[in-house]
Amino acid sequence: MAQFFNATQQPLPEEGVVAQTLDLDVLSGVRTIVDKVNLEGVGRTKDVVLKRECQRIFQSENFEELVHNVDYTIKEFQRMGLFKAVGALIDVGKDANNYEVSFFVKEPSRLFGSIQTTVSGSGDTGLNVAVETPNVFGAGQKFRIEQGFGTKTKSHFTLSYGHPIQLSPLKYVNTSIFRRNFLLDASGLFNVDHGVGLDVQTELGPLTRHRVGWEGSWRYLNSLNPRTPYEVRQYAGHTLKSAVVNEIVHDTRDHAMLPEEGVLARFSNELAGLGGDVKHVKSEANFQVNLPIWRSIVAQASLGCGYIFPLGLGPVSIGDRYFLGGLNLRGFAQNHVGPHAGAFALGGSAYWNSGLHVYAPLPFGDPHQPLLRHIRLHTFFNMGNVASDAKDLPGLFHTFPASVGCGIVLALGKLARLEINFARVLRAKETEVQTGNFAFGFGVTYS
Amino acid sequence: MEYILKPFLFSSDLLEEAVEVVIDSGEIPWPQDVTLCVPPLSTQVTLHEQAECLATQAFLRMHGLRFTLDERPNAEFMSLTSKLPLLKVDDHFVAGFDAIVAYARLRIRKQLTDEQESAIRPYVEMVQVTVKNAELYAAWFDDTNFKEVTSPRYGSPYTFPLNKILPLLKRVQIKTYLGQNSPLASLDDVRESLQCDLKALSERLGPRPYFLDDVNTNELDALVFGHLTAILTSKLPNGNLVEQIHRHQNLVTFCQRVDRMFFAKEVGLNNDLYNTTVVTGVRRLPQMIIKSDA
Repeated sequence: MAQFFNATQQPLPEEGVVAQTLDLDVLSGVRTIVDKVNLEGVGRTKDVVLKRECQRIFQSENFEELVHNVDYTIKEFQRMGLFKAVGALIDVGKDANNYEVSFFVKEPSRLFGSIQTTVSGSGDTGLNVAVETPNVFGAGQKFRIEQGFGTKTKSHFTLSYGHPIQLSPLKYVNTSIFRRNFLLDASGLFNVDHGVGLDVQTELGPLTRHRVGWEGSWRYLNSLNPRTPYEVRQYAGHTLKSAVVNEIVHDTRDHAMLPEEGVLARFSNELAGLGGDVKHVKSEANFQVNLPIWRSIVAQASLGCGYIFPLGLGPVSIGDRYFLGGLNLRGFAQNHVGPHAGAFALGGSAYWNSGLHVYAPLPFGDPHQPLLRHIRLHTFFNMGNVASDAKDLPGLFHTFPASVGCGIVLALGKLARLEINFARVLRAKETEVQTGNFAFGFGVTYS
Repeated sequence: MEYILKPFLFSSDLLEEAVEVVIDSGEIPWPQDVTLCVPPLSTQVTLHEQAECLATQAFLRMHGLRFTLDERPNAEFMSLTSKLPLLKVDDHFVAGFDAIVAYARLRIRKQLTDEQESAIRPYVEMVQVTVKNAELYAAWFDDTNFKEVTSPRYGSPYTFPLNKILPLLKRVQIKTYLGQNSPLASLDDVRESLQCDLKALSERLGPRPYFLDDVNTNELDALVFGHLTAILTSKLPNGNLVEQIHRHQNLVTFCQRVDRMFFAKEVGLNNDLYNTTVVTGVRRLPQMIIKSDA
């Protein structure tokens, strides 16, 4: 049994090769009748849920459909978080056309904990502790409590409940209560957020996700530093934000942090002002194209742009504005591109940025080996700009900061990137804060 | 209730925080770009904040130090220590009446002599401690006053539910502060303590126009003007504080005089100072209407 799990857990390339050599045209001619579906290893998962999932297997008319449906069912089990591991076996039944399908499953333990350490670009190190109860009510529901601590005042707490939905265009509902403390280093502010969130996720296609969410939060901003200027201080205080977010992501990439092929397109819109005193419409789009050139050498181009339109009389809050610098405009300090008051960043209500990269594997070893797959050398060219408001828009493309350089990228799983770069600033206005020639970067988004 | 709110307490203007302000000594001209940041005085500010804001304004005007008044709903949070008002001088900040006075004194030609200083010091302390505590108690501790005046005013810039939560949070802070720093236990105590202070001030002032001499004004004048005007123009339903001040007619006249001398240009700022009707259900003082002779 254990060997069986090992075999099914690894997405070995050999399996794919075998699957491709099967001639499915032949299989589609084979009529099949599924007699029964066995499930071994089921404990607390509800029968109703499993019956519903297995319906489609009984509906298979030929062998090709059967294989597809079994595959789809395994994916559904995984999506819903019902089992820790799933294996399937299609066996012949009593007659020639009769088949029996067996799933070998392993349910997750009732309580699952994890501890991880984090590092951020501003030199903050932290610790995240999470506890979750996978598949708690037998239909994939999940409670998760996460608490993070940082060496600076940064910390966060989240209590969330996720509920997968079966056989419906809506796929997942997630609700959460959170408290987040973090610093807006570049602006000399700190932020304390308390709030609730509700997310509904759907799928528009196999690789296109759609998310509609609402977030209500009570934000408290205050100055971190006695020298924080008046222009930044005017945003301090309490605000209430109630915003609806609509996000569509089309992602065909093979890896989120170091892709070798594929395209990413992301569109997001936010409408704030359904109650509360933060009122704006925020639209953002990001694109990324990856072209394999030769072996594991990849060219990557990315483009991002965003605009915030204030709906009220007041300016857009500094917590919602755009900042560039760091991994999206290398050579400049994190969040330090754009309008400034003294040495403190004010952010802007419109931005664009673009990056061109060539990635190459390390000159030794197999680039697809698990460890080396996460390390690449790269050269880059970055440009972008932030405009403070609508009047400033023509200046966006007039004299924009740009930089060029090379470095080494380390992907930390599929969640974050760590970079050590040598960057030269080609063009800069006077307001930005530049890093030295050598800079260390960490981030989830990059371009 | 207080236990539930504890995690949401962010900062308090009542706690002393050490903030370093670099002050150069010597004869320095008053800078050109000076902004005094206060909460909207007519709609938002609460009793003790209004007192300090008025006192600071009076002090600066008395000494001819020029400033622009900037009314911002989030003034409390713009300040370094949450103290009000916030004075912005070039690129640095000074917050609170005491700090602003200390800062401005370095730029005033006419300094107080040691003798004058020691004459006014006890009164300054008295106003800043006992009168301020009386104001805090009356405005925040008393349920009727809090619900009808202080809470709606303090919460006025926010939308629901913050306009209910934030006044409660502030109230918790002030209750804690009063519990540790003041023996006041009821509105009668407040009246008694205020009456005691006012008597001392009234005796000190006597028939003269200002506290120290006939012509010159100083921080005690500013402070007494600020606190008494705040109380006179407040509309707290409970406590009858206005009547306490009207028992000392020379103090009321003093407030009107300072207002005319230094705030004359801003018509309507302290209108209530002149046409407050004293609400006396009872006793010795005849009901009176103070009229402006300006």
